[in-house]
Amino acid sequence: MTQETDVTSERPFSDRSYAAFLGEEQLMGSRCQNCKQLFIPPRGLCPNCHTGNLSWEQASGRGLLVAMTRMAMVSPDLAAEGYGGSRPYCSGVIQLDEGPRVVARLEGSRDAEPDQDMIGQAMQVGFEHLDRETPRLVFRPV
Amino acid sequence: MSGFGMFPELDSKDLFLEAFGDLGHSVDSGFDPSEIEALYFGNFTNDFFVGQSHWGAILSDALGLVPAPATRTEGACASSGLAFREACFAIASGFYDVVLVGGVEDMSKRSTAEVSEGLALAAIPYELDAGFNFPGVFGAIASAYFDKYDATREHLINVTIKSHENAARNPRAQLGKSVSQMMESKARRAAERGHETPVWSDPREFLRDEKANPVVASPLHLFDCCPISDGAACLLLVAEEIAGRFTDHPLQVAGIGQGSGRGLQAAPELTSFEATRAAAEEAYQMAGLGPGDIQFAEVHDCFSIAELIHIEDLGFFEAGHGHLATADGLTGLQGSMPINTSGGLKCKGHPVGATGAAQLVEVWQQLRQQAKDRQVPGNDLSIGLAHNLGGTGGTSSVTILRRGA
Repeated sequence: MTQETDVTSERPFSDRSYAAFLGEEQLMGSRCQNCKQLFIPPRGLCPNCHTGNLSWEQASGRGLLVAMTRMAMVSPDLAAEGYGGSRPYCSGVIQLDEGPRVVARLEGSRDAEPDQDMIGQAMQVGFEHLDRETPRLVFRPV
Repeated sequence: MSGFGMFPELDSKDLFLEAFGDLGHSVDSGFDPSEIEALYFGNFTNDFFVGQSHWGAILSDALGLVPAPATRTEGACASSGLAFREACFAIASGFYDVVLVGGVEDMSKRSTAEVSEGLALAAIPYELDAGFNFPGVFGAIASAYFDKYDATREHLINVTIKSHENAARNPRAQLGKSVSQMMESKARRAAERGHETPVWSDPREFLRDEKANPVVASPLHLFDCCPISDGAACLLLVAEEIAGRFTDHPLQVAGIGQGSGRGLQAAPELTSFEATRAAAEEAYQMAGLGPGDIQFAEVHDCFSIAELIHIEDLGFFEAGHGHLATADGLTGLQGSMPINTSGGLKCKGHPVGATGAAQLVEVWQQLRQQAKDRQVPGNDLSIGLAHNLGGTGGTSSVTILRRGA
């Protein structure tokens, strides 16, 4: 399910590195070598062991939808993208197969918009390259 | 406390002075403001909404307290809950005897979109990247709660109807009308304007009407969300030994607690706030009390779903039973565990930095039998709790007040 990444990765465990990996279409986290917990986004300090003995690990990008919402009242930057009352968008929480939860934008299937019934459904990660540095993390039904 | 509402003519200074004036009238034996040795107050958004920081000195000056020290606390929507706890430490340490504690927020001069953007400063950065706004985070939490406990929107509607019923009895509430009253005035307005008059058979049907009660962040609709508010609240906190100088009926701070929590991606559960559980445990331990000893509570119902989760996290009901208890009327004014007798954040209003202090004002009024039409019944009322939550569960404070012997 998970695989060791290129050992040449010398990136620090930071939000900036996480974003850089997303730009390369990789969902990356850090695993504590002591307690073995995986953190996505990565942490440089294990909150359980308080040690910095972690290593990069790539997640499969598959998981289950555990929470979701469709937002009709939007922030000014999303309103500028055309979202709002007449064009709501969805965000949700995905429990990855590897354990950690991630928050991301959601897209429905071809037939249906995401809704409450979609909770529990298997989802797959996608990377939406917009006109900005970091792509948007999107999960769609498998 | 000041009035809560949208006051285009009032700024933070005006609001805090109004609350301070109200405090002056409510101290039974009066007090001399020059006795105040320090000010602790909560404020969240003034840097962003008003473009002005450093409010300690400004408020201290406005109140005539200079050169007494003034300290501002920031814990998002729990800012004044934090101020109260710091003030307790200051007095418990023996350093001060008389401290003013409060909170203020000035939000309504901004558009709803700007307010939403400002409040989102208190979310977890990953949540913002994923497109979540505040209602969105609580909408997602509601979806998880529905899934886990087989609850539905009808259970949220119960919370909304109860909040409005209490607020209709609170002259200070921003939305001081029952849902029936709001429904009737909406129909009347439509008729006055010559529009087709909508007909709803009851408040439930009104709240189910997508036009009257549009979706904000599913499953949360407009009536699941607290309003944008301006307001301030403050309290006088004094050392126990001298309390008799101010009143024959002082309240004791029985327990205080504060906790931190993680966001949606890292919290242990989506249907519980770890910060609340930690704060409650600390406060109960300090007070030597348990959830069963609490007779009523003000909890941080920024959204209807939040109230259901808080009454479980505080131990009043088992996990997953909050919505059932509410449906059974247990949290109503006549119920076994009245919750948000003030109307809560939902209806009393939520000037975020003032909310923690305002919750304590409500507990104070209830414990002194001064809550009039919304007084919790029974003469034995002696223990109440206030619960304040910041951000998407990042910070929580719990305070237990007890009527003095």
